[in-house]
Amino acid sequence: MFYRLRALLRRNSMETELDAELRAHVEQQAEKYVQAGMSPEEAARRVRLEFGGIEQVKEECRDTWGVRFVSELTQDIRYGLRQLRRNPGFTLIAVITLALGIAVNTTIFSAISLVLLKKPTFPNPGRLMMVFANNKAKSDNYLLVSAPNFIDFQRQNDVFDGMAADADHGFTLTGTGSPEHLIGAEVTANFFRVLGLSPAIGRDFLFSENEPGRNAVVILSHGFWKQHFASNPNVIGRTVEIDDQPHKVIGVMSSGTDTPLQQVQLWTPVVFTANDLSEANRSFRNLYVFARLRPSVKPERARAEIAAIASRIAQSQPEIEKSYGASALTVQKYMTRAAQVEASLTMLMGAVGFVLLIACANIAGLLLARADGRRQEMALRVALGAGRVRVIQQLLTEGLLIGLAGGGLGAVLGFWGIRFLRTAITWDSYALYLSRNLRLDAATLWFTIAITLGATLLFGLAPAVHASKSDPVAGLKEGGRSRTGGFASSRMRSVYVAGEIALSVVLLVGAGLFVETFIAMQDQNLGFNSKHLITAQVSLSNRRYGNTSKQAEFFGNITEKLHNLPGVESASVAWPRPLSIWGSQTVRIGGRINSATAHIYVVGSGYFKAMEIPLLKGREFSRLDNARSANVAVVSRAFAEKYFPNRNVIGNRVLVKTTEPAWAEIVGIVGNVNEFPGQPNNDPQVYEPYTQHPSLNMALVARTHYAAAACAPLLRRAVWSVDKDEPVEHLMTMQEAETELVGGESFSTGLLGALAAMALLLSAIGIYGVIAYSVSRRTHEIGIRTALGAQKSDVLQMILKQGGLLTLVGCAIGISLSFPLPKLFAGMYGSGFTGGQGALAVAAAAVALVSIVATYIPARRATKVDPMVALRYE
Amino acid sequence: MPEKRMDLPQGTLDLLILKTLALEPQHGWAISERIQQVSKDVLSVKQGSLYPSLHRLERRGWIKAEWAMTKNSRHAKYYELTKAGRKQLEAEESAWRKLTAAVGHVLETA
Repeated sequence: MFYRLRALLRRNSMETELDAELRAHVEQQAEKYVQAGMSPEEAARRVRLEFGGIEQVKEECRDTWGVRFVSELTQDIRYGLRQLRRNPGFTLIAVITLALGIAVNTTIFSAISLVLLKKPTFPNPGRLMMVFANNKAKSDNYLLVSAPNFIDFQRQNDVFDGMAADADHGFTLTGTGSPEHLIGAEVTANFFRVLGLSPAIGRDFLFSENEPGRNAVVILSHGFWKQHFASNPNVIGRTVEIDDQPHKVIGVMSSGTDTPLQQVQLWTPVVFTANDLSEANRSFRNLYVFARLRPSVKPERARAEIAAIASRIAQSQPEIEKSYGASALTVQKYMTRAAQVEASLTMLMGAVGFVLLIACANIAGLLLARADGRRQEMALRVALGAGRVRVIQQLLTEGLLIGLAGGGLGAVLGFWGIRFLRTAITWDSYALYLSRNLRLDAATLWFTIAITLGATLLFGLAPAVHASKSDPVAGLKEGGRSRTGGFASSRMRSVYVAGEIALSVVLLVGAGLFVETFIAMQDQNLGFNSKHLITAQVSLSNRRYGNTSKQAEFFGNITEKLHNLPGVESASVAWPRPLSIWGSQTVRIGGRINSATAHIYVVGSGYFKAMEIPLLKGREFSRLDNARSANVAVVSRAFAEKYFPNRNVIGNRVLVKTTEPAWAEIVGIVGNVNEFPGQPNNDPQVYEPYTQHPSLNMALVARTHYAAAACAPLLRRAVWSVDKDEPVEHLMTMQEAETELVGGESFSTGLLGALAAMALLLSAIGIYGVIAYSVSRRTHEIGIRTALGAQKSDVLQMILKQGGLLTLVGCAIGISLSFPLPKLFAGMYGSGFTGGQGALAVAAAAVALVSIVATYIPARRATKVDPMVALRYE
Repeated sequence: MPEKRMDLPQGTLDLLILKTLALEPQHGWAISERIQQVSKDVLSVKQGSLYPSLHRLERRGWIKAEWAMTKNSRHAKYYELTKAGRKQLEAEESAWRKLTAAVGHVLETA
């Protein structure tokens, strides 16, 4: 043990000792022979023969020291560093390529995935599942669950520890200064328990509170408590008047509690009446269902079980439940889906992956090119007795050095990148939330480093291939100025360069396509003009507007008032407001057994005009469509295409379950509104006049002549002039609503643009590296030519011409290889994606430009070198 | 020239070195000479392989080394048997005798 340590630390003295020891032996042996009568020279020769090679003996002794590995490693490191220092250009380019690839990819991926992926904020989200109904006949997924079905699921399963239901509900806060509309939920008593949460103050619901008469209690959200009770800890027992009914406050949730769906302000116990649980009510699907898996139960099993229960229900209730099923998925999956970011995320990963590929291709090209230039070195090592393993060891060490330098630099750059982004995104509260949570994603960092390191090590081993294959004598003779075979051979060189160019084009096109697709998806046509549009929500109190005609009258007055406001071009009402993510509902079609699904809107006359939704056929609603006239409906383009392909739509009848459902005749087709920006715009919609289906809740929309925001106070006053006790909520411009919905997607788009630019930069670096290296290998040749009398400008021209030809060939190959790519993308992502030719053109042009420059600069430098020096250049 | 000298089987070199050093500390060349002498010139140690063995034995702790002056006023590295080395020598010696006895029996009776 100490021996080893000594060998490690006091290496030098051990070496001198060894040398002295062996020399002493040799001398004494020689002396013996001389004394026996030989001449000194003969004695010396004899001894040498008998002893064996001194160096070899020394090496064997060193082996016994047991520190071979470490000493070899230090040797390799020192040698590697020396080599890298001797080729600063290569080293710099390799390290920078690695660093940029790692830093950019990790930073951008971390940023964008933060925006796109909202992580749940409650414990164990992987074990919490949501149950949804679906209709296989209409491929409708993610329908809510009806109360009778919920009870059946709850009773008949054995995979869940607890199952809870949640019905979203709008409440009005009454009894305080100005009435306020609240977003709340009616839940089963075990709701919070199933989610794994519990109130910070007070207590959770009791099971008895899900019964009629006992449910006048409420749990508040942290925000509500802060806003209405000024965070007073004595809030328990106080009363809150909701929908004109006093409710006792029994608990307050902690801050940061976001149930998976939306910002809920308060929760009350749900009460299932006998009617709610009747068989007929199976078709009223209004519940979100959460369930916590039993330990050691896999989600797949739960899904199968739920599906089985659903099919049992369908069999026992064929009229209502035919072709309805159910499925379950984890909350994490649902939230990703609900935000419909899967496609965007795939785009993102594709783009990042391609940039990584570009970086790796660059590294590979550089290393391969350099490998060829090291044939002489490899031959020498083999001739000196280096085993294959030893050579590989040394090359791996070199690769590791580059990899570590690049990885380290990359990580540092990544952190700076994140820091920079944090300071850059501060334009609103959402952005601030983003910047607070922006972090370098460790997993991505390690992954990127691993990939690039792997590529470096893999291609760094290329010279080893030469070492074991080629005849060392031939390699030595070539003397580095090899004219036959190897990189210096102009044919091999040309292949390398053209190959790198072609590859760069293909990869650039790929990256560009990903970016373009992503951007296109975000820009998906909304279907209406969201500029200069202001919206607000009014929720009437049931007590005072229980009469439907009063409701209709109220909103009629509002619309009038809004029309008369200065600066307002047109106004109307609608429920729900577009871009507010409401699910779709069942729609019966006259004369058909199978129902359709569509998003249902109840709107005022003049709505389509105010929203600038085009009328495609037939007519819109007018003042003549009221409670006394025939029931009418208008459908969207997607509805017409889906349910009446190539047939007359107008004149058919539909039945929608709104307030006062009745068969309505379709009188018009309008353009489609995008339910969620960024997705293809083909969700079917059905509109009915609110005069025929009045509702307590309505959203107001008003198109303004100029800045919509300026009209906000006017709108409020207009509403209060009709009834001063009605709250005006969610007052905002439609564009703000859009931003609220899609969050920072323009931010993501910007970042992806940066990614594309980085891809370009990386490719440029790669091409430059390979071409520059290849040209510098011709320095010797240039020297000869100049020495033989060629003019420098002629030589330069020749090189440029050859380089230009190579560029042409490479680009041609690259372009033809990338031709099928745009179609491939359009096919995969089916977003009616046109374009991609742009990416092709830009990529080819950029690559060509870089190649020319990369040929010119080193060539010029080479011609400037003194011919005598060039001739000796190896 | 003496008749063909026999090369030493692997591993037995260590045994011989230990035995040689059991008498008195020696330096490398002296050890090699001694083995040659005592074996009546039959065994030839490829002189180069002596030293790796010496270093290995030193690493194992069975011999230890010290620099000193020889009779001829030469600086030489003397090796000496340690206590552990003595034990090892006994063990290997008895193992060797057992082995050769067994082989001998087989050769006689077969």
